[in-house]
Amino acid sequence: MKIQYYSYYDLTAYIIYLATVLFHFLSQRFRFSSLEKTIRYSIRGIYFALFAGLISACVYFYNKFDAAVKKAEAHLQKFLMLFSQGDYRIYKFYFNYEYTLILIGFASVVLCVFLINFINKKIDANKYLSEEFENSKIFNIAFLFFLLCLLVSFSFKLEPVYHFFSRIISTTYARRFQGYGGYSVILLSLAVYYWFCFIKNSDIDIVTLKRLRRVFAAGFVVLAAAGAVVLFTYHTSNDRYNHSYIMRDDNVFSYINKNVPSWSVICSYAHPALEITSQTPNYVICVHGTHQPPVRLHWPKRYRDQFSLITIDRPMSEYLNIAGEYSCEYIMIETDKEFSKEFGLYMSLCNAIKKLTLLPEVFNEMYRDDKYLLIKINKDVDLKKLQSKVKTEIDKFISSNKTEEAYDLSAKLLMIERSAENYAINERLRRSMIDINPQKAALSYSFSFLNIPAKLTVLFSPYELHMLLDKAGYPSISDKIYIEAKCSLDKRREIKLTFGGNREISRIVIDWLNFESRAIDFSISCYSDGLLKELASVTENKESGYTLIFAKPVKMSAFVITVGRAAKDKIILKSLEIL
Amino acid sequence: MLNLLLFILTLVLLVLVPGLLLFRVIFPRRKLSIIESLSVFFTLGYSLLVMPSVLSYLLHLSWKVFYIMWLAEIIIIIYVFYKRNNPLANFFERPDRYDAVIIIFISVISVTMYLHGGHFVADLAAHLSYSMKLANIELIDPYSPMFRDAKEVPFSYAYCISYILFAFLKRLSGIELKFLWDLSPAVLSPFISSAIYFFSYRVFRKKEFVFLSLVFFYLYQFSVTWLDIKFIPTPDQFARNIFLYLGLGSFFADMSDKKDLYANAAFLGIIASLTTLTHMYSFFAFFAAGFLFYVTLNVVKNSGINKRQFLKAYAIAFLINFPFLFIKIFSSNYFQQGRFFNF
Repeated sequence: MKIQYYSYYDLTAYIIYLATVLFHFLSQRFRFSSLEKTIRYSIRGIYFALFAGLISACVYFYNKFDAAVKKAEAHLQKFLMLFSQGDYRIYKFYFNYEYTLILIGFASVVLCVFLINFINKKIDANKYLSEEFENSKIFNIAFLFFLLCLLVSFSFKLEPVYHFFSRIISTTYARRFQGYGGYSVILLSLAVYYWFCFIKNSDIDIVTLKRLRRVFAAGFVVLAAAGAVVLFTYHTSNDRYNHSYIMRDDNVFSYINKNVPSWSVICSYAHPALEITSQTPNYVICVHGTHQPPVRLHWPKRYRDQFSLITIDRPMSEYLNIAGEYSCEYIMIETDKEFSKEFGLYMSLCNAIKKLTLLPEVFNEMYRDDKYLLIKINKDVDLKKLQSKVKTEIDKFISSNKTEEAYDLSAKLLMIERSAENYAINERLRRSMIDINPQKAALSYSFSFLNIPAKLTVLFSPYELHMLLDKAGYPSISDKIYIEAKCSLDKRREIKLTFGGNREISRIVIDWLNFESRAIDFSISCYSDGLLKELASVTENKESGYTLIFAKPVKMSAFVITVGRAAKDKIILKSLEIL
Repeated sequence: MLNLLLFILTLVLLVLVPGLLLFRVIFPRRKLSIIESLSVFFTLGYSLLVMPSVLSYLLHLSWKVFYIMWLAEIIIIIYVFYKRNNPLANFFERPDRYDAVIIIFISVISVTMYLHGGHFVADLAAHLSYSMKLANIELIDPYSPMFRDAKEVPFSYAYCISYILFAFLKRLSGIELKFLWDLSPAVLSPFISSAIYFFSYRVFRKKEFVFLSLVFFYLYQFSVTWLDIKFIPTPDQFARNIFLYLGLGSFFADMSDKKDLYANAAFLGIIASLTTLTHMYSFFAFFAAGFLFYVTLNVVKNSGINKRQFLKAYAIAFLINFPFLFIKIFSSNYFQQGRFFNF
């Protein structure tokens, strides 16, 4: 937990504060005449100011190396390293910052004491500096109040307080409140303390004393309760999963409640399933996700026509087939970038989602926000008719030499049906595109379709990837992703890319993220006619990229990068281009 | 904030006040401290939903019939209350310092839970689905919301009263379920503290130990980021953190009270029924705890409790609960399909 302070004033105030606290304690032990006391207090003030300055320095030091403090060993090591190397950074900031504060603190205390002494001479110093007075209840109550304010002002510096206030007021004002609030409390308490000690008449009646005690006790209880609320809230605050999204009135669930008829059937992925049924009165088919309830082997036939909230452990590429199979009327997709951690699933989902933009005749987007996408399925579309219509248009474009337009449409054809015939049409057009527009013909990764907030995403590769097409229907080489694979000495890693059909590849270009993220020993193989064939093998790689050009295009349904040795414990691919 | 006030008002009027009336009907002369009365009244008020709920679940009755049955119960209880009680009598014990501090603890935790809010993920979302379904259909049925046409009666949570409670509050107060759910850790957490207070006061009879028990409970909860309290809307938390404590407190202490033996047994029976109908496994935990206690009694021969009375009360508690247990087990698909032992 961090201790925050934001200005010189804070530290100065703390120094004066702490000096006075210790000044109070130690003054109890010594009984001198008023003048001697003044001198003694002043000297002690210097000591206490120095001590307070040391505490302030520790606080500063603690925060400065906050990350290291969390690992105590690292912190100690760093300190020792600096010290043993004669690194004067320690002394430098101490000298520049803390020393100045120490001087300010000392000067403040001395000034206060002389000021008070001057005032005392005007009243009757002996009366207020006598043993009796110092031991009096009023003095101690004042001191308790003083301590209380110290706790309050210090607590303002704690991170939980900041989180608490930033929830009620803005973060900017929360910070300011932390800084100046604490400072103000300190000054106020100092003023009260000195007023009680040296100005106020010591003849306070018992009734007033009791009232003061009750007031302070009540204040203590209120402050302790507030502190507990802050601490408990901070302690529990990290796990408000999804809470703030669900509580909004402008989210997908509110939209569904207003615009989707009750008890419709919605197809969703994983988490959204339970969220839909808990936030809206609808039924859900859930693909590849939760445990509520899982489909057992004997269930699918029994419940096929009964619109269930069930989980279906099938490949994600069948996502939309499942929606059709269970006669879903709507589809809900979670597009939150957190989802991207499940790399393989996310890629599969993207593959399935491609259909949605390429088939607006079937999928009408109803709602989109930064977290979810809601789509209505048009059930009246005749997919066979649509497919033949698209084929006719492709033929028209080919005959009028519009290869690019034909290629774009062939992606749509693939999305309607992934048949061998459609793949062959798409591949034939893609080969023609190599000379016209090689960028468009290259197969790469793209998430531009989903407008992910973070354009570059580090994903943990489960070693199997699927080809995607972007919104316009052809693979895009923008919005690249990083593909990361952890390596260890005793294990080889494979990154496999499947095309979903046969393609003739002329060139493969690999770019590692940087020199340190490269593979040192690796090989490239492909699956052709069901057999794994090695295409190239590289050892002692010293380049941050690799290009493999084939003399003759190679027909393959997938290719594999097998990594034997890496420069570090993981390899990171910046881009992968296949033509 | 408006939702919070409305929620509290609805809970007080529809659950706590009927619970208070029922308590006075069962125990006309007993006094409770303010803190322990919270969970007792809540439990008894909640128990008034049992008969309308079970009948509605079994016979697929509409919400209108449900309200009529519930109102009939209230009217009967008000009538008997006035017959047996002086309405102007003081029901509560005088609070002392420990109570004041405990109230501060309870308030602090409630405020913290209000700031934190309820969860909507995983199991909690699944439970909320049940309440969402019940709140939106006209005919109440015990089938899982996971299925529409397939009549799947789940083993654990069929005939669950806590789902009915939320749907009931939603329908009558007009507050959306998501707000009720979100506010429930704040509004319902005092009942957990109250239940533990009830149990420890019955067992220890000294406020110092009650205070200590609560402090240990809060320390434990703090160490697990207040999980039990944050999960309060779920049936198992109701059963484990409220009803179980009340049941054990009543069982271990009140059963020795010869004067009110049958009243105590009735109270215990109500709690046992609620536990079964909310979270069945918690009932077995209570039952096992009671049985172990009986075994301990036999071992510790110097106890002053009459064994015959004890057995009688235990049997009554079980018998009152038996019909609900019967319904739950024998109407579930697990039993009907011979899968009873396959959970």
